[in-house]
Amino acid sequence: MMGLLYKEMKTLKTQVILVLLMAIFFLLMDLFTENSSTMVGAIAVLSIMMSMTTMAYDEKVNWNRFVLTTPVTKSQIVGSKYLLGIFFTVALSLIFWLFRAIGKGFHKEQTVFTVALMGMALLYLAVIMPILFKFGVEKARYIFFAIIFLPLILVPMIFKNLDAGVSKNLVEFGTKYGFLIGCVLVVVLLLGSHLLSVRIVDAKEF
Amino acid sequence: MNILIRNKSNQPIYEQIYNQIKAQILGNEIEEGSALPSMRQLALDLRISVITTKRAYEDLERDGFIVAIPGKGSFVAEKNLELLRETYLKEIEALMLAILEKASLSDISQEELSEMMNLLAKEN
Amino acid sequence: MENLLEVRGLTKHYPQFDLKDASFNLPAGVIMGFIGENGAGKSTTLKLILNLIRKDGGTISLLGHDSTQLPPELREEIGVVFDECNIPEMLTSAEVRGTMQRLYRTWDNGIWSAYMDAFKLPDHKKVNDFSRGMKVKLMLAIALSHHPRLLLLDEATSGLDPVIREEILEVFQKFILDEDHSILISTHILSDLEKVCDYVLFIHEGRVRFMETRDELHDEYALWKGSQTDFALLDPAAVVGKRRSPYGVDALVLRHTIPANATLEPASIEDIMLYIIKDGAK
Repeated sequence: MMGLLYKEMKTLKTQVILVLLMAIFFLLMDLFTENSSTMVGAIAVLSIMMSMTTMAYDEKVNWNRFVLTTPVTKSQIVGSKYLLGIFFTVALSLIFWLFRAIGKGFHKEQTVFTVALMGMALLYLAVIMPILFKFGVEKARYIFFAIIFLPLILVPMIFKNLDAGVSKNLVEFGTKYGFLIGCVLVVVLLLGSHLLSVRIVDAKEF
Repeated sequence: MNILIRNKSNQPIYEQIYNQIKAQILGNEIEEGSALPSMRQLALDLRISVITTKRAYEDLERDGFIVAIPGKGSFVAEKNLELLRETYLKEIEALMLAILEKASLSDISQEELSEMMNLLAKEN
Repeated sequence: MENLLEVRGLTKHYPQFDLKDASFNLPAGVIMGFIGENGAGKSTTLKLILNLIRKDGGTISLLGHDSTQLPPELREEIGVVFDECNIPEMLTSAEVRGTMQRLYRTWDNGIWSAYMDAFKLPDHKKVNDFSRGMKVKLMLAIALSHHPRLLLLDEATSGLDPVIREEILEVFQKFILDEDHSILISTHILSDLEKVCDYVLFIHEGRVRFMETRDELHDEYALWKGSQTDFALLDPAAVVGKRRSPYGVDALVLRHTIPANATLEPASIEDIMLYIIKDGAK
């Protein structure tokens, strides 16, 4: 597995710069507008982009066909992509939290909001990954735009339309019980997603 | 040891190797007791299949020209004079049969043959 | 001498192609050439052995284990090269080495460096900028640098010039100096096989036509050339395949069924393959 992660990191070394630039763009937009709902989508999308990029490069050269002749298992191949996505989600969330904290000060609400963001991004990961494994990045190109833009467009829209009172209650509920439930939910869904992805890859021929 | 392989020949390569090694052993060009290269090394050096060299070595061993010592390799066998004589006798017999056949085709008598033989022996 | 590979009754169905009942053994210490036209089933067979695709029937025993139940660590003993460069383009050789040494416990940087030098591959150039030949050499270097017992090569030397192919053939022969090692190499470059292979496995239209030693093939088959009239006098059972021209007939014959006084020439692997494919469909 370490070999796979090493390879992913080396493959992405040029991508990372691009992603950081995009992240900074969103962060600045977030700081200078009151609208932080785009960040919700941004973290999810940027993280999934990293996994998608490595999968695209892999597909192009039939890397999986080769790596399956090494001691690596299909489960590890799937796992490395998840770890990659989780790593970037956490990293970007951290950067977001830091930026926000520096820009607007350290508030407890901030932390909660960031954690919630991270949770949602992880949920997004759990949903999208099996789709990517099933159809491959090339074929998933058709739902590519939906994958990228849905969170960026839809989520802010949902937020806007939520009644102010409702969202305040949600935040209150969130800070009390949500954290624990949220954690459990995210972990369970990620594990389930991983299992599903492994089943999908198991059935594939290389 | 010299070995020359002719790929375009009808003679199988293992036979060519067998004959050439045997000739050099009989002709004293390779000393008794000296080590032969391993089958695999020979195959590598000649750029041929290891199965071919294995067969040649097995035949040489079967016919008493070399000895294979497990773990050490193959060595030229101590010259067994009896064996040598046997070999040469067999070859001479074959040649004699060929001579007799030819003689009968052209109606040459055995006396003429003996005369020729004596003359040639005197000259050489 | 054990078999590194035992294949029995291997079958795989595709809409346009069937692999039928393939059986053969690969003993330790040999180089086996795997020949046949494109689409005859060579790549399919190799992928089935590696468990990259699922078989529809038969058994494969790889290094003593069912090929579908091979413990992951044993894969270190298998070196594989496909007819493509499977490395993501933006990696450099140094990064490839970094990846491989983390994938294989048996990885040997000393051997890797030696091949990098011998093949003249730069450490810090992206694989994307490599020529076709360099990419093949890179994949070979990877396969050879983790102390495998078995090399499975699918058209691994195509696209290489004769000089470097000669060097690689020597590498292969050195590889089997250890009697425990074997190579199964599928290739169209039959002149290479003439030189070094011990066994020839010939597959045609999804069926194994023969699996024999080079010497057996030399004994069994020969080339006959003569006039139409002379050809008509030959026993039809002796003729495996023929080619007629306005000037005579060339035929691949079974050596021992031809009268001893006929002029015969040795048949190369290529001759045997071509005659059987073009005319000997039996």
